[in-house]
Amino acid sequence: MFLNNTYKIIQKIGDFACVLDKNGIIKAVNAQLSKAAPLQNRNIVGESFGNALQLSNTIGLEKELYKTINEKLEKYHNDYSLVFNSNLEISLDCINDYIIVVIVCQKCSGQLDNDADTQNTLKPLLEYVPAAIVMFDNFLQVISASDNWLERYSFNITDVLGKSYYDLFTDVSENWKEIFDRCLAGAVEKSESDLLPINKNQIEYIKWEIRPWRRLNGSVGGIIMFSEIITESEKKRKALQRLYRELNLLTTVGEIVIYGHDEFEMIENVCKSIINLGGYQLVWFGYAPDEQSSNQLVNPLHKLGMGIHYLDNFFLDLANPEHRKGPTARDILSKSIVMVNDFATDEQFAPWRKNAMNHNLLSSITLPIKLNDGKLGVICIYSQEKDSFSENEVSILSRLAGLIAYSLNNINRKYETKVAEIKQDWLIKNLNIRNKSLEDFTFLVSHNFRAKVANLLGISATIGDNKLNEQERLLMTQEIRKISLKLDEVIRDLNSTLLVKEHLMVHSEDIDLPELIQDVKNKLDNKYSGNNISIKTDLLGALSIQSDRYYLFETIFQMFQNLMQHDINGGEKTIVVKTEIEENKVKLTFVDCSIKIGLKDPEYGILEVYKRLYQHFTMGGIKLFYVKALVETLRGELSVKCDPETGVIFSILLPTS
Amino acid sequence: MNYFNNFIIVDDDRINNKLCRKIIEKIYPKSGIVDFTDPQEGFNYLAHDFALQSSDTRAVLLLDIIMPVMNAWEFLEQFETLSDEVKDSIKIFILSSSVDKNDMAKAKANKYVEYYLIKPLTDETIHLIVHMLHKKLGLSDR
Repeated sequence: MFLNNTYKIIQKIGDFACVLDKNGIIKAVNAQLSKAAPLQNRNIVGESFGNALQLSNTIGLEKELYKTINEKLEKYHNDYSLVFNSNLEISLDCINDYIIVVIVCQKCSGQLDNDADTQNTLKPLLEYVPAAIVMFDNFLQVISASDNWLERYSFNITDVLGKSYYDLFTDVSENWKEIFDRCLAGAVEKSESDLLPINKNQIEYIKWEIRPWRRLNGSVGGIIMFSEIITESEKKRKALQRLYRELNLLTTVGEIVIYGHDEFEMIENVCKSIINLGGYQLVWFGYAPDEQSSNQLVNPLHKLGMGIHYLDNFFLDLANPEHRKGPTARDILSKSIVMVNDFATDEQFAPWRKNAMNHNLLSSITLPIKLNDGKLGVICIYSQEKDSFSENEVSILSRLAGLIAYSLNNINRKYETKVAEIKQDWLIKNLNIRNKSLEDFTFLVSHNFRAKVANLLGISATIGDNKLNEQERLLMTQEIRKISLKLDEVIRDLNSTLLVKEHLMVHSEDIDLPELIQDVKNKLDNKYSGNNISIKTDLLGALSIQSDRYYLFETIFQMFQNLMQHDINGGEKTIVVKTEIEENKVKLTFVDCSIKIGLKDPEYGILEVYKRLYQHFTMGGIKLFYVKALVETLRGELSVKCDPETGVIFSILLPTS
Repeated sequence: MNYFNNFIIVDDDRINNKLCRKIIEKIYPKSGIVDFTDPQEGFNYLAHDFALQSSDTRAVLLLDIIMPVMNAWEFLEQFETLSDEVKDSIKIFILSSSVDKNDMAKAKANKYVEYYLIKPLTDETIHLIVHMLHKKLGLSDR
């Protein structure tokens, strides 16, 4: 009954399986095992397990099996697995006195015969192919190998046949083991270029491919490994790749420098290209200090790359003898390219070695950027490989340095042109202002002189007329005197204005503004005492100023005097004076509350206001120009506003110091 | 004979106005002369008193440029608003002490300004004014 059940169980097992009694006699077999090649449908029930499978002479399985069965049967009734060697795995399931044997990896003599046929066919082919090929069975034992492969690893064919790959190469990585497993399962694995060790002292670029070879029935019989040392071609390919990268870099930098119009942006983009296209680890750019300067430090102005933190504590002082041995200093001092091929061994690089190598920097090239104005720039490029800069690369990088110099010179020239244009614009603007001022001045002079001269000419032409009576003649004479006095005043004002314009000596001192304005008021009181003038002050906004006392006093005095004209004519006048700080300047405001005229534009120049209001001011427009000249001598500005509500507002804006 | 037998003087300079009056009275004693130191008052006169006079009244207006409150250009802007009858009856001459070319160009560009005269007004200038106006109308000076 039990045997019947176990028979049913083993029929469901996909692998070869049978049931043995405790003596190793086969009691039942499953269909898979019955059909297996070595048995050829022979009924093996009743035979011993070893005999039935004809294994005793090859691997001594029978003995081991019996021993194991005898030893373990009494002790274990659980699932039990034995691996007798790398060729065969048998799983034993002990139930009561019976053993269910499942042969997971079978190796039968018939199968070996088949494999041997395959090997015999492939062997001569493999031996003489001009490539490194090795053939393994399912257990990664060498079946055959080409002379090329044997020679590469210094093997003899007799030494390797039947040997496992793992015996021949002891230090096999997990990665390779996984690749082998995948290939034994049917996959094809390959690589165009891998840097692999040939022996302890030799590493080569190898192109390889591993694929399974199959038996006639389609099952995987093992793997074939093809491999080819491609170190030389790989080096050439890499060199070409690098050259292409450098040329790409040069082209890109060429475009950057042609279109570059801003120094910072141009250098920044060049650095980005050097890192991204050139594939370098770090780049920085800086300027050499002026030889005459006391400061001889070289600072990286632009820096970029993976190794950027190398520059965190970077300190290069050309005045320091140790620092002068470094590549950048040598580049600056010699104005020529300096290369360090191996930071690890270069004696002169010793002070920076540890820091550089900590940041994966192994070699560098430093290129001078010679500018037209004698200024010297320097660009330092670092690589993570030693001996990184080939002759071609140096040539290309030299051209790159030349392009940067060209661009910087171009940008400097454009900048100088721009500065010249700005200066020119400024000059033209100032000339226009001066021209306008001169036109205004000429107009005022003309109006003050010409109008009075015209009056004099008219009177002189009329005074001789016999039809004039005595009264009219007297009036004409009085007019001549008034006009002459006014002309004299105009000439004196004109002289004062010209004197101020020519006399530009300003003696700056601290001035108490309330005190100064009080002094002006005192002087005015003497002159205008008895008139209906009311002066209101609000001087808390700005209490002091650093300026020329004489000019400031004269400015304020003339401004007051000008505004007091109305009072002389008998009217009442209120003048409000205010000081305040505006945009870091002292603002003095004089408001004539009696002239309330609104003009179309809120702000007028002095001339426009004069044209409208000249009757209100004491000494005509030239006096206003005199005040303007005084204010300009103090580096200030005079402006006028007319407000129908407030009155006429004169503002003087003066620098605080 | 002067076809334009009325003179209007608008200038804030009262001495000039007095001198103009004297010269005009000397040349054309029968002329009507009014003068204003305030241009706004001068304009009001044109808009009201002058407008009420008979349609054959012709006048020469001597106008200064630089005046407070209203300058010549602003005066001319207001003049534009008067009736065509009044505007046709008045011939405006700028009389200024200014020799500024900008002012001269501005005056020349204004359709109501006949000519730009430089102060002082003289006998010759008055004759010139009348001659120009008569010639324009195809009239004889005599």
